[in-house]
Amino acid sequence: MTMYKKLLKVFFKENFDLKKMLGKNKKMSVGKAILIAFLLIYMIGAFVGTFGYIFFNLGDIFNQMGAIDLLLVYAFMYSTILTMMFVIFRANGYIFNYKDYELLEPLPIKPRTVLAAKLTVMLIFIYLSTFVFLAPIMFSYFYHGGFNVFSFIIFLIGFITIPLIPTIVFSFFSLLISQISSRFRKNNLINIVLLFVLFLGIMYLSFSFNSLSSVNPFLNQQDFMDSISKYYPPVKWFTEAVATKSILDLFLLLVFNIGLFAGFIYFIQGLVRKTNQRGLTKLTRKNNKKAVSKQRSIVTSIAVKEAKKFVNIPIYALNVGMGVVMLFVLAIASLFFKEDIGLFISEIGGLGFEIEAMVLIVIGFCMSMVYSTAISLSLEGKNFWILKSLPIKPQTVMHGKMLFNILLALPVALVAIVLLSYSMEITLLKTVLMMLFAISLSLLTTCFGSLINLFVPKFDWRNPTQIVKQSAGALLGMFGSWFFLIANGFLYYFITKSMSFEIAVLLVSTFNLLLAISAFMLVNKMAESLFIKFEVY
Amino acid sequence: MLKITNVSKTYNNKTKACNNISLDILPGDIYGFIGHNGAGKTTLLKSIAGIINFDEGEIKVFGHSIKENPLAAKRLIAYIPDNPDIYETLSGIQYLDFIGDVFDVRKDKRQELIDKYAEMFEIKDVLNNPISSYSHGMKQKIVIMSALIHEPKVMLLDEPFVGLDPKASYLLKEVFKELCANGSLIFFSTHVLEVAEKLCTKVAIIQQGKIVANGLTHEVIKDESLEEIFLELLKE
Repeated sequence: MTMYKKLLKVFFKENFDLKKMLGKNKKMSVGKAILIAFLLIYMIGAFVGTFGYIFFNLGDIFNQMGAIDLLLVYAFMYSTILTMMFVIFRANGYIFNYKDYELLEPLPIKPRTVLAAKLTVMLIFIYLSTFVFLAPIMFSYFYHGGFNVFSFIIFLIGFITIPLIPTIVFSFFSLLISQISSRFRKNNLINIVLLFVLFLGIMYLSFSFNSLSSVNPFLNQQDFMDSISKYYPPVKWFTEAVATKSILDLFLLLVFNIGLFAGFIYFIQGLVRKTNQRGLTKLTRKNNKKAVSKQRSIVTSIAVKEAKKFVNIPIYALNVGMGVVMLFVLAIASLFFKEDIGLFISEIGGLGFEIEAMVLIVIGFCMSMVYSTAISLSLEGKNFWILKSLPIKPQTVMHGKMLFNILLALPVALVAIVLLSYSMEITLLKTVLMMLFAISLSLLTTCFGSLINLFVPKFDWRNPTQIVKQSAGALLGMFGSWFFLIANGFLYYFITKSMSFEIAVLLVSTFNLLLAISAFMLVNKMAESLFIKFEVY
Repeated sequence: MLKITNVSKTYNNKTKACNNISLDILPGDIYGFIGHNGAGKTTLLKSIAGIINFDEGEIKVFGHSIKENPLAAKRLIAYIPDNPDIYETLSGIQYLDFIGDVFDVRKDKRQELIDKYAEMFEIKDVLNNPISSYSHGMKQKIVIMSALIHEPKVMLLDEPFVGLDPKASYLLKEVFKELCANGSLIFFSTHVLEVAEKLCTKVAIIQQGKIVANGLTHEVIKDESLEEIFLELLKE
């Protein structure tokens, strides 16, 4: 137990060190702390205003229908899905093939203790992310359904135990994907493709499950729960335990989850050791093909370097490329499922906007998910010395990174607009204007992302996930882009009160372009003065 | 020439890593930079390469100030760090091309030099492979090749022989001599005192950020060995 605590202390320092997060320079720390505090307030506000609002209202509706316990099913599902997403990315590299294996293995510590400490840290990450989503659901449930201490305690026990089984299951998925992809020469690319297939598959299954289920959750709560529990009994144990304070269901929930997890720790040790040892004995394949040189301009060369990084870091490709893939899938699907896609798009917002505006919202939302410029400078990490020592202007480096971001999102967005316009029978003029909007948004989010990363760079990291998902740059990049999208929406809404769609889109695009130019100029100026100050040890 | 005048660098307003350092390194010099761990060697090398800022003084590379005109100065420099942290997502050839693009090395010249050094350092069979699959020594060789393909006038190296096999070390020393014969200068830090003694035309010894001995190698060591001189200076 002592060794477990000691390991946990070290792993905690590695993963949750505030000094590392805020930077070692005191002056910068205050600035960053203010920025992060502002960001947190903005995020909480945005989150409570959207997700929180939806679940508060949903709770009210469910309560009026006598089906408040359905919120517990939602809590369970959110916890499971978030765990799945975290574990698929992190298990391989966190419990299998971890980087500090060479450091830990020679030490006189039981492998089981190391594994338990590593899993604990991974679970804490999961709890932190699931809490954000479960808290509004929990509030809505107890607000509308009435507060009860015993139910609340059971809910918290559920919060801790629900992620355990998805952790077990998706750890194996994570390992399986890495094992399959390692057999190929372009293993990272295969890994990315498999992850995309898995995610899209899960999305498809969840849609299919909803449509296959003949039971309407609004009409018959019990039947709906039964239909889900048929596939996965812990859902029922959790909901029954919280709703009826059933000791038996709580017991089943605890024994099933904790028992399986303990077994997992016990039986997985051999596999952990095997995968780690295999990772140490990589052989460099020899290749008789002559290495042929290619000459490019500096900006193109930097953009190509960025592209290589993108396709070789699965977590980067999956997070930053998800919007592009969604756009692509939607655009292709619109050709074959014209009516379904039209219905889907018009139902997304439910704001009563015309179809062209809804297409723009979908396109804008997907494009704003492409935030490579907000993190690509940080992703240089220990390699940043290369760019600093080379005769390249800092602004040229930023331009290369911007070029990549634009090339990643814009061509697919333009093709998607053309295909969606064709399917939705949108006029040529409107299509061209929508393309202009896409260009303006792409430029704006790209320049804004670069600005963000210059403000909050983080070069001291061990795993790219820390940058792609958990850095201030990633959060600001993504939420900041949504902020612009919301601003665009308001602008559009007010302009269309007195003017046509065409003029509104033209004005919104002009607004974006003006902001993009300002951000671009600021990036050039700031890069020049900040690059030399970024110290990478 | 590389002219370092009264350079000082302090970390966190406390630790003085470089304290009023002045050195003149001329074309043709192979200049060894010796000091214990934490003496300030890497800080000075990084300052010359334009990787970190320094607080006081001036560094000029063939007349170009690294502070005032960094691009002109950096075009003449190749810097090789002690740890070859390079883009693991690129293949060896892609990394060399990236450096070639930055220094605007013509395609035919680039290919010729890549072929020459890949053959010399025995890594031509792995140039198409991702750098992530390379051993430490292979990565070190790629960094050295990336420095050589743009024929630098100033080569800055931080512990260049660490991780290299004996044959590669020997070849690197020969490359040093060839470059110096063509008018380049080499400034490198090392812990291997025998190498410095045999290879360097000049040496400088740094202790707690200050240069404590400096000059032609044979004048610094006189009739002793560099190791003895170094240890004596440490005692003082």
